Amino acid sequence: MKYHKIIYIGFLAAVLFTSSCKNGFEEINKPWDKAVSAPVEQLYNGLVSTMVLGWQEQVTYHSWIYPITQQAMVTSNSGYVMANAASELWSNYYLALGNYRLLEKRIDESPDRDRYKNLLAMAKTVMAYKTIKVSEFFGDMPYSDAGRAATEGSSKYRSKYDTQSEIFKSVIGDLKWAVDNFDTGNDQIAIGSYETFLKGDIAKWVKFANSLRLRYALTISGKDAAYATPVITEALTKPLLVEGDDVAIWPLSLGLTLEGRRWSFNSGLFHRMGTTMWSYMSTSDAKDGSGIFDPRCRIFFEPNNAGQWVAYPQNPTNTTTPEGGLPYHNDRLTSWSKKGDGNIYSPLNYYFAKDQTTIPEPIFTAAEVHLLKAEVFATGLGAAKNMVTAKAEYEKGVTASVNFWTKVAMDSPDWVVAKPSTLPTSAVINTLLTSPKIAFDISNEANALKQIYAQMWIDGFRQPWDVWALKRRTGNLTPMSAVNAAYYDSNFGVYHRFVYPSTEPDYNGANWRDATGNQDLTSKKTWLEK
Amino acid sequence: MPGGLNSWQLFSWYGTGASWGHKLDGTEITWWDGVKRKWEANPDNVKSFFRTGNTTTHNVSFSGGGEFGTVRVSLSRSDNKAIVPNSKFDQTTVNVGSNIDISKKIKAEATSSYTRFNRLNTPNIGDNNSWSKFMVYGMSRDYKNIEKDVFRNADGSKNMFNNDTYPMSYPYGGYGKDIYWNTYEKNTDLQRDQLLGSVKLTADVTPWFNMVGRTGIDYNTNEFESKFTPTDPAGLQGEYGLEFNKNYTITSELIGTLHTDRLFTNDLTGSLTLGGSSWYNRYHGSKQWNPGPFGVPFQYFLRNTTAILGSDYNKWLPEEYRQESKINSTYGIIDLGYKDYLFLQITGRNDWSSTLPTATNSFFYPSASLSFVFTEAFGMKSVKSWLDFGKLRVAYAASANGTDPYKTSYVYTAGSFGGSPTRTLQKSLPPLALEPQRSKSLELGVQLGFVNNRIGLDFSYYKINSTSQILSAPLPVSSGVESVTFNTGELQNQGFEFILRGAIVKQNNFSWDMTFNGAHNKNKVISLDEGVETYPLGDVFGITYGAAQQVRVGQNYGTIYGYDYKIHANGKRIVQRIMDADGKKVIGTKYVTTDAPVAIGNSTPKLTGGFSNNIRYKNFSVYALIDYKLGGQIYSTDYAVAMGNGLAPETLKERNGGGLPYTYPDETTANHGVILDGVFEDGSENKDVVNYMFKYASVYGGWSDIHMPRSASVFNNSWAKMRELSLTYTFPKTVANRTKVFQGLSISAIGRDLFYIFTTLPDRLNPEGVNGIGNTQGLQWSAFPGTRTYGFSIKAQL
Repeated sequence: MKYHKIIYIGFLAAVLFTSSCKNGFEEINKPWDKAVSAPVEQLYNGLVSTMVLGWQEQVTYHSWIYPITQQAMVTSNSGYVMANAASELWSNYYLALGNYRLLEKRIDESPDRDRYKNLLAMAKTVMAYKTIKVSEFFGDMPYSDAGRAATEGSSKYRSKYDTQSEIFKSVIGDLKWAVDNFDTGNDQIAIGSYETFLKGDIAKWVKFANSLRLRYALTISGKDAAYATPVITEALTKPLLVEGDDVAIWPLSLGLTLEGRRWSFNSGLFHRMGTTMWSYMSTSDAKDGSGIFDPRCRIFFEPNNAGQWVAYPQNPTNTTTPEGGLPYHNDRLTSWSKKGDGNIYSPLNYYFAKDQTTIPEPIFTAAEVHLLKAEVFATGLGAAKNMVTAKAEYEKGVTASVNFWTKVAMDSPDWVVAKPSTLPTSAVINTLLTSPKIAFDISNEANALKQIYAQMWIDGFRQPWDVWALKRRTGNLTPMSAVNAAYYDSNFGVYHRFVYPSTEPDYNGANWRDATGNQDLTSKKTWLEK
Repeated sequence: MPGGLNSWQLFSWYGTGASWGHKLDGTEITWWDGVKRKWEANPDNVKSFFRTGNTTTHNVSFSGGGEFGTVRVSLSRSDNKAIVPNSKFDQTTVNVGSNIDISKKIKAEATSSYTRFNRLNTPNIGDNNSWSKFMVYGMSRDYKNIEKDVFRNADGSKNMFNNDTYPMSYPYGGYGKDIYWNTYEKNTDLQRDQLLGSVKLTADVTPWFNMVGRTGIDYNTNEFESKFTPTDPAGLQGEYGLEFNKNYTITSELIGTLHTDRLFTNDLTGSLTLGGSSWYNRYHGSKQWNPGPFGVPFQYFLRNTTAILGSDYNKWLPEEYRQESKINSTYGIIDLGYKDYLFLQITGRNDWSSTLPTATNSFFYPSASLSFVFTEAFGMKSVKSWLDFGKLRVAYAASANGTDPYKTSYVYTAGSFGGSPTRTLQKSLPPLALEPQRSKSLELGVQLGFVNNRIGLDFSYYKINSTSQILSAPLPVSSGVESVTFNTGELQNQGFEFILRGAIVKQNNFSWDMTFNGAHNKNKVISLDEGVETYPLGDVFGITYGAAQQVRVGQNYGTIYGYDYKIHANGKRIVQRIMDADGKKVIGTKYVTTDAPVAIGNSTPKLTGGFSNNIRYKNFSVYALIDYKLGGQIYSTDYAVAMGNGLAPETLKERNGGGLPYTYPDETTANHGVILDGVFEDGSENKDVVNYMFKYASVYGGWSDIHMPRSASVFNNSWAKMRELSLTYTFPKTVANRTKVFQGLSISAIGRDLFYIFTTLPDRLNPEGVNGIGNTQGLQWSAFPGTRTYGFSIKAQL
C-alpha cells in the first residue's frame, strides 16, 4: 500500500507539473527596464537630443577643421584621425534618421495626422539641419532610401547614394514644407515640455526653418543658381531669425553639462590662435594686446602663460619656435593662470572648456542671417543688387555677432578673468566697423564679398563645420594666409571632405562602390565646392 | 616626408613602437626623463613587466561507511599568483556527501559543497593601457622600463608623466603612461561564495518499477569592490565602486522507470522511463560607482564625495541588471536490448521555455540511437584471433532551446533630454517572431578492439544541422540601425573524430599505453536572412582597416578577409609610383591593393588532436602528451605591426647595409634601397629603387586607413607542442607502511606547455595566441605570451 501511495503521489505531481508548464511565463519574461512603447513626442525629443555635438567631432574641429578653415592653428599633431569623427557623425545622423522615419510613419498612420503638422515640421527642420551638416562633410550619401530598415524591412537594409545636389534640393523642399505648414492655430497638438529645442515657439520655428532655407540655397547658389535664386527670393519674403533668436544648444535651459567640450579641448591639446584670425582682430602684433580692435578676440582667445598675445604662424616653418604648455589641462579649473611654462602662443579661451553649462553650441546666429542677406545684396542673387543694403546688413551682422559673443561671456558664471560686464559701446563697435580691414568696401564688390565671408568666418568660430562648407562653396574666399601658403596646401588644403566610415564599404559595398568608384578620398571635392 | 607629404599619407598612423631610428650602438643620449643612458639593445624589455606566477593546490579527503550508508568529506584549497603583477586568486572548497539507505527500497543521496573564491584583479588585455598591446604596438625597441620605478610619486600620488615633470615629453603617450598605475593602484577584488546542494531519493517501488526524485540548487553571490587610489597627494582624486549580484538556479526532476529483463522473450530487455523536470534561474545585481573627488581623503565608501551632481547625476545612479527564466520539461525514454548485441534507445522531450512567445514556447524534440555489436551477433570466431570487439552505431538526435530572456517584446531605448523623456529605436533590429533554435544531428560510429583489446579504434562521423538560429549581423548604419538579429539562420557542422589506443606493453613491471586522437570539423552557413549577406565572426580593426573573418551563405567558416595585392594579367603584383606633394617627383613605390577586401587565408585546420604515452616501469611512470594542429592559417596583426614599425628582425636587412644603393634627397647615399617585386599597370617591370620604408611601412601595419596587402601577414599555422610531461614515483607499500601514517604515497614532477616541437610561424609568434576560442581562430593580436608551467605533486593515502 505504501508503494502505491508513492505511485499515486508521483502521478499527481506529474499531472500538476505538466498542467502548469507555462504558468507565469509572461510575467517572468516581461521587459523590466525597457519601454515597450514610443510616443511621437518622445521620439521627437530623442531626435533633438542628437543635436548636441559629439566628442570626437569636437576634437576633430580643434585638430583638423580649425587649421583647414584657418580659424585657428595647431602647433603639433594631436594624433586624432578624422575617421573617428566621421564615424561618430555618420552614426549619429543615420540612427536619428531611422527614428525620424519611424516618427514620420507614426504621424502618417495617426488619425490625428493633420494635428501633428507642427510636430512633423519641427522634425523635418531638425533633420534638414542634420542632413545638410552630414552631406557637407561627406558629399553624396545614402538619403532617400536610408534609415528605413526598421520601418520598411530587409529591402532597405542597404541604400543607394543620392547626389549632394539631390540631397540639398530635397532638404530645401522639406524646409519649404515646414515654413508653409507651421501653424499657430489652436488645433495643433502641442507636445509641451517634450519640445525642448525651441520650447514650442512656432514663430521662431518658422524663422529657423526659413533661415536654414536661405543658408542652404546660398550654399548651392554657386553650383545651381537657377534653382537657388527663387528659393532665396522667397526666403527673404518670410520671417528670418533676428537678434535674440540665436538658435543653439543652450545647456542652461536644457539642464545639460557639455562634458565633451572640455574633453575635446584637453584631448585636441594643440589648437592655438593662428595668425590669420589674429590679423582680422588686431592692427599689430603688439604682445600687450594694444592692437586688438575686435572685442571677440578677448572672448575667443586668451594671452599665453606670460600674459602676452602671440599668434602661432598659420603656416609655420622650421624656424618657428615650438609650443609647449598645457593651457587646456584640468589644472586650470582650480589654477586659472597655470598654462605651463612652455605655453608661448595664445590658446583658445579655456572658459569655453571650463564652462560646460551655459556657453552654447551655436547652430544659427542672427548675425549669420544678416551676413547671408549682405551676401544676397552684394551678389544680386535672389534680390536686386544693392551695396548700400549689403553694407547695412554687414554692419548689423558684425554688431550682432560681437554682441552675441559678448553676452555669452557675460552670462557665463565661470567666466571671471577679462569678463565683459556690458555689451560693447557704440564707440567700440564703431572702431571695429571703421577699422581698415573691417570697414565695408562698398566700392569693390569682390572685396566686399570677401569681407562678408570673413565675418561669417569669425562669427562661426564655434561652428567650424559651417565655416568649412562656406570656405568650399565660395572657392576659398574666406580668409587665408598668403605667407608660406605651400605649407597649408600640402598639410591642410588637401582635405575637401571626410571619407565614409568603414561600415559603408564593409556592409554597403555595392552602393559604396557605385558612389565612389573605389576612390573614397579626402582629397576629392564634393559637388558644392567651387 | 621628403617631398612635402606627411608620413601618415603614405604609411598611415603607426603606434609609438615605431623603431626606424639609428642603430642601437651604445651612444649615450638623454632619455625622456632627462637622465643620460645608453642607446642600446634592450633584449629583456618585453619581459620586464612579468613575474613568475605559481599555483599551489592542497586537497584532503576522507570517506567512510557503515550499514547506514557512506559519507565523504573533502577540503581543497588552491592559490594562484598570476604572471602579471598584482593579480592573484585563491579558492577554498568544502564538499560533503553521503548515501543513506533509508530502507531496503529507499535510498537517499545528499551532497553539498561550499566554495569561497577570492580574486584580485584580472589582467588587462588589448586596450590602450595594457601591457599586451604595449608590447607589440607601443613599445619601441629602445624602450627601457623606467615607468615601473616612477609611476608613483614619492608622496604616493600618481606620476602624470606630463611636460611639467618631463619637459622632453613622455614618448609613449596613452599607450604606456598608465599601465603601472592602473595595475597597482586600480584594484578590483572579487569575492564569490557558492553553495551547491542536491538531494536525490531513489525508490525501488517494485522489482519492475523504480522512481527517482532529485532537486538541486546552485546559489552564488559575487561582490566586486573597486578601490582606485587617489591620484593626488591630498587623497581626494580617488574612485570607489561596489557591485553585488546573486545567481540562483534550482532544478527539480521526477523520473519513473518501468524495466524488465524479459520482454516478451528471454532475449529482449526493455525499459520505459517517464519524467518531468523544471529549471529556474534568477540572476540579479546592482553596481554603483563613486567617481570622486573624495570628501574624506583615502577612504573608500560610496557617499564619500564632494561632487556637485548637477545634470550628470546619471553616473552616480546605481545600475541594475537582472535575468529570470524558466524551462519546464517532460520526457520519455525507451531502451531496448536484444541478446547483448543490439541496443535501441528512443527518446522524446517537450520543453516549455519562458524566453519564447506564447505561440512557440512549447517544443518537442526526439532522438534515436541504435548500436550493434557485430562481433557478438555473428560470432565471428574465424576472426577472433585479431578482432575481439566490433560495434557500429548510428544515432539521430534533435534538440531545441529558447533564447535570452526579455526578447519577446519590441522595446525602445529610453532616455531623457532637456528634462523630458526620449525614446529611440534599438540600434539592433530584433527578430519579428521568435521560435526555438533547433538542431538535428546524425552520427555514425564504429568501435573496434584488436589483439585481445590491446589495440582499440573509435571513429565517428557527425553532421549537425542547426536551424532557426538566432544570429546577429551588422548592417550599414545608413540603414538606420547598426545590426539585425534574426531567427532564421541555418548552420551545418560536420566532421570526424578518432581515437586510436594501444597497450603496447603490458607486463607486471613494465607497461606502455599510447593514445593518438584527431578531429576535423567544418562549419558551413546554409542560410542567413533576407537582406543579410554576411555573418561576421570577428575582426581586428575591421575588414577595411585590418582583417576580419566572416562567412557568406554557402561558405565554410574560416575564411580570412582583407585587402590584398592586386595582380596583373601576367600574374605579377601591380605597383604604382608615389609622387611628392607637387606631383612632380617620384618618391617611392607601393603595391596597388584590391578594390575591395578579398579572401586572404583560411583558418580551418586539417587535423587537430593529441598523442599521449604513458610508460610505467616498476614504481616509476612517465606521462607525455603532445598536442598538434595541422593546417589552418592565421592573419598575425602582431607580425604586421612588427614589420610595419621596424620592430621585426627582418626589417634590419637594408638598415644594416644589405640593400641596393640608394640616394637620399640630400644626396647622401647608403645601401638602403629596395625594389618592390612587381609590375606597373602597363605590365612593365618595376625597376625603381626606393627607400626600404616602402618595403615595410607601406606593406605592413596594424590599424591602417591606407589599404595594405594583408596577405603579407598570413601564415600557415601548424604546430606540435609538448603539452605535458610528468614523472611519478609511487613508493612501495612497504615503504609507505613503514611511516605508520600513510598507506600509499606518490610524488610527481610535472611540466606543462613545455615547448613547441615545431611551428610554421616566423619570429617566434605564439601559435596559440589567436583571439578567443570561438569561431575567430584565424586572427591574432596582442595576446599575452604563452606560459610554461613546472610543478610537483604529492599524494598520500592514510
